[in-house]
Amino acid sequence: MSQIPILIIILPLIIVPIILLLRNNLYSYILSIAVSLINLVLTILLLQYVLKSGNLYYELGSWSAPIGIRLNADLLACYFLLLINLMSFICLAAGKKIIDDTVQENNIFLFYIAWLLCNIGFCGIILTDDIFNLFVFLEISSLSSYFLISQGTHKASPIAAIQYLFIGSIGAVFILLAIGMLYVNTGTLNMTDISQSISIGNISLPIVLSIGLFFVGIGIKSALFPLHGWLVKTYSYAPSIVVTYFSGTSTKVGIYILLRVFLDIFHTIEPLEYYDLASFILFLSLLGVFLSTFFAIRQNEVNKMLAYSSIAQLSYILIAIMLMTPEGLSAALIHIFNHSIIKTGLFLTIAVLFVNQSNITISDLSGYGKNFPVLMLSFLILILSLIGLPLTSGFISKWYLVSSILDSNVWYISIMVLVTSFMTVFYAWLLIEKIYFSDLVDSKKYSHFEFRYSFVILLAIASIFLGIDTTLTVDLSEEISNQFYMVLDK
Amino acid sequence: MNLILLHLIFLLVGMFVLYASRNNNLNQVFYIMICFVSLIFAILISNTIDVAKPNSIDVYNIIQDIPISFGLDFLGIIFLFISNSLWLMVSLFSLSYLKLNSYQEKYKFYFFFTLAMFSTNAIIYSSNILTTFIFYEILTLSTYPLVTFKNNEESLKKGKIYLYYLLGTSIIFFLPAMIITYLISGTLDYTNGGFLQNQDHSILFLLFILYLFGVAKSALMPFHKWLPSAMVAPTPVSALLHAVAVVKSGVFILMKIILLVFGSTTLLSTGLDTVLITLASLTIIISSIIAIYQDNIKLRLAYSTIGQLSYILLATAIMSSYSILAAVLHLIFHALGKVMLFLSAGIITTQTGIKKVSEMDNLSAKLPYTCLVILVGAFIMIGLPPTIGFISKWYLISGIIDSGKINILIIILVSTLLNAGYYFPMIYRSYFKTAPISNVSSVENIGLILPVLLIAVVSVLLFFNVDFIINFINRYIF
Amino acid sequence: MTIYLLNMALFSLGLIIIIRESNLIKKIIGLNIFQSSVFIFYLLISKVENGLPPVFIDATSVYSNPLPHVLILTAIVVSIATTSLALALVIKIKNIYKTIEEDELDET
Repeated sequence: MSQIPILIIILPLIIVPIILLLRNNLYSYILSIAVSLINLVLTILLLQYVLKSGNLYYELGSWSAPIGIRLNADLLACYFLLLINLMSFICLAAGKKIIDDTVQENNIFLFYIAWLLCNIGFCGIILTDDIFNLFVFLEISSLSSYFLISQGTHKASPIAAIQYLFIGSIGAVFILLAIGMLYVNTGTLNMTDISQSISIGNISLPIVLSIGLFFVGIGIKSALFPLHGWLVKTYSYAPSIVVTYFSGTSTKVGIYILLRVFLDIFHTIEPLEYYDLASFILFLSLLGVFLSTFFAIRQNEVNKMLAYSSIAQLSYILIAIMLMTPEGLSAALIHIFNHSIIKTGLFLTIAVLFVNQSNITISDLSGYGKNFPVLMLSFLILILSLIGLPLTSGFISKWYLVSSILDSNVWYISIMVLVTSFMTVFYAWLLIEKIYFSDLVDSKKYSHFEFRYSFVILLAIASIFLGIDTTLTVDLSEEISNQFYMVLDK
Repeated sequence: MNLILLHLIFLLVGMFVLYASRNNNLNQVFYIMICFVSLIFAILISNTIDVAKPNSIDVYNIIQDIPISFGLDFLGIIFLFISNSLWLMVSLFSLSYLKLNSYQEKYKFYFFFTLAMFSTNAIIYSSNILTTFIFYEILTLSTYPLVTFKNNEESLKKGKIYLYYLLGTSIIFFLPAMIITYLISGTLDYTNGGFLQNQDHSILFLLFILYLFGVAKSALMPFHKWLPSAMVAPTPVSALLHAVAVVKSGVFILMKIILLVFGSTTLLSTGLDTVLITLASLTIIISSIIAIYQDNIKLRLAYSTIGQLSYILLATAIMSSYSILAAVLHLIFHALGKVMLFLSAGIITTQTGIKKVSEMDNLSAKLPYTCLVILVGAFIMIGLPPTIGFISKWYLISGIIDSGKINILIIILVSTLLNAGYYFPMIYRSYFKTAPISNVSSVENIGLILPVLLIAVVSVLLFFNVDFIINFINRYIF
Repeated sequence: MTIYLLNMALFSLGLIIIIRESNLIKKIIGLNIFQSSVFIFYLLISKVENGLPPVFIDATSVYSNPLPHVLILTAIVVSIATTSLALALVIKIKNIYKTIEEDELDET
């Protein structure tokens, strides 16, 4: 049981060279999905273990903490791990045909390698207790994601990839420099250690610099409002299945780093409040919510619309975190999970329907309600969930989000949050109208039910389930945020 | 097994059956059977459940310790009975109506109509605000496909307005109101006498405004625009949903919030009743004036509905026992009257193609029964004897005098005159103005007129036998 | 202190090149300069005054800190990977668009 954290990273890492040696597309698919499933099972086991008996530390090579490298599986980590591995598994399971049709024949096994590496990177970021490892894993996931993005069928996908490469590398270098600054000041790389050796009394220049650098670096990774440009480009040119995968994971990992760095490592000096970073991020996020909602309404391409919608939803998450209350944090965590399910479902619908086409406009969906009744019903449920109607997971998110804002001392933000969340209806309904109230443009576009559709249905059911039974999201999130704020109070 | 749950489950199963039999001729039969059984359920429930005792039953906890929970109170019984019985009548009407207007995909109509009635019933049964909110939203969504049933550009445009208004107000006002209520009081259960005593004045004021605007289904101005927009729907939808089920749900929810969340004593002591009185009075007057200028029959009726709904709210806000009696009575009587009027409008349009008041000249020659029904309906709306509208107005005026807020009488007087001002032209034109030509068929379709006449007869009979209703209501108010 | 300032100049220079240049190759060079400046920063902080190279002689001598060197070795590997991937992408772009000037790419 105690080996699980390392297994989650090592197992796919063993599979990767095997795939490389086999160079067989089918085997590589089977291996990838098998290891994804194993990872998912391991994560669930880990979550159960951590829930029962507290944090699980794994010391690599049995070297104890400050000297050796350690993995730290706490509840927050398990929560994110569950999210990442679930999404990876669902996308792989639904994506076989999509990947085969999108990626060039002789690149497919490389695609799976990159996919697994990307997932390893995400899991590593989440599990590691060593801040330099965090950087390394971040780069592993980033590098493989640049490759994944470049495999799109749209001819601009390499451009999207290289532009993301530049901005992503800048972000990574900022984080690297921030880590250096931290090391100068504390002489250690272990996160637990660092957090203990920083205190209000000895805030020095390097610490201040490192906070600033972390802020920018993480801002890029989590698509904080003015740094969100890469996300829209990536989401519109990358292969559809990659977009589906990233929509639920990559920015969420950015937020995970934010939580780790600002609420965990620096918790003693509370940088978010001390330097008014919280109100700054709050301001940026509010601006982000407004503008991205406006942009989403004006988009004609489905992917871009959903990308802007993602930015808006990410901003909600950041707003909730920046309230700096336990309720806010748990609302954010709830929304992270729910939004991932919803957005992955929406993007997956587009992916399974249009496989390798790009630039799908809203009118391409005309009349699909008749030809794909079950699939489109799931899509409808996901859209309603995005709007936040009751009995869907979106409503749970919204309830906790609004109630945490109203409970804080910045209640007036709730007005803007409510208004923008209503504005979601404006763009979401464009899709619904096209799907259900327009005639089919291409009447031969009809297909029987296919296996990959079932995953969209699964996600829709999940989103209703999470809207009714909230033990997974709400109880877990509250537990995590209580742990965090107990640490902060100490 | 609890009867209330059984009723709701039955409706859900019914919807499933309707969908499953969508390509089947039996579809309509199933639909009528569902309406009928639902009415029987309503009668059964009102006879077996003792509303004096708390009878709510929790189904499932959604958020922390707020469950979805169902129960029944005396307001519920009345609304339950009226909506289910009118549903049966309107359904009978809509069978012929849909056939004569040759609408496609009727099963969709039946399906969503049943869904709407399911949520209306669920709103009636709901015993906390969260449950109300959930089914309030479902009601909005289920009526949207009915509003856009014609599926042309105009109906889609109107449908959007409908959706934006109702969803928007519920998200921006209703939801935060509910959350604030929960945050300051820790509960959302409807309680006799309310549970918001001892709260800060400004918060109560804010909450009250949020609720009034949030429940936009009550069509209180300035958030009334959706109701005229909804008139693009087929007539049975306008008749039942947008004169009874949907709008009355709004009023019903507001009455419940006023009486069971705020509580009459809290409301009177904080002076919040004047807020509602002012808003309702303004709505009554403005909507009546707009109605006069509407030439489209359905639009005129819609604006009349907006005004009449505010009558109910006004009566509730006055808070004397007579006025609350008047509110409940008007909830019933307006439903009867407006259904008649809308269905008649549907008959007129279906059989002659006339949509405007100015084209109604000498209609009584062609459609004698329909015009008779319009006459009765209009009398109810204006409040003239010998129709039931007179009774509710009587009690309303008694209530106003009782409470000493004599100024409001002026509003009632002016609005009655205005009501007469937009209903009399319809009667006058159809009976006394001679039309130039046309000797088209002068017989109403029996399937259309029969349900309408039935409602009209009941409403007239009710005028002479109104005591049992008043006694029933009085048991709970006094 | 001067050396830190020089390093910072290098850092800014790299960043400016990435942002300002339109040619993708030049951008990649800028990225390399940018990354190198951070590597140099790590090397700078590892230097202990009068410290010997960190090869153990005796316990009393003062040694420079070896850890940042090791860290930066990893970072260099990452940097090389990034560069090679970027170059591969540039080749791909060149094949598709026949140009690697970014402002021309945005037009097409």
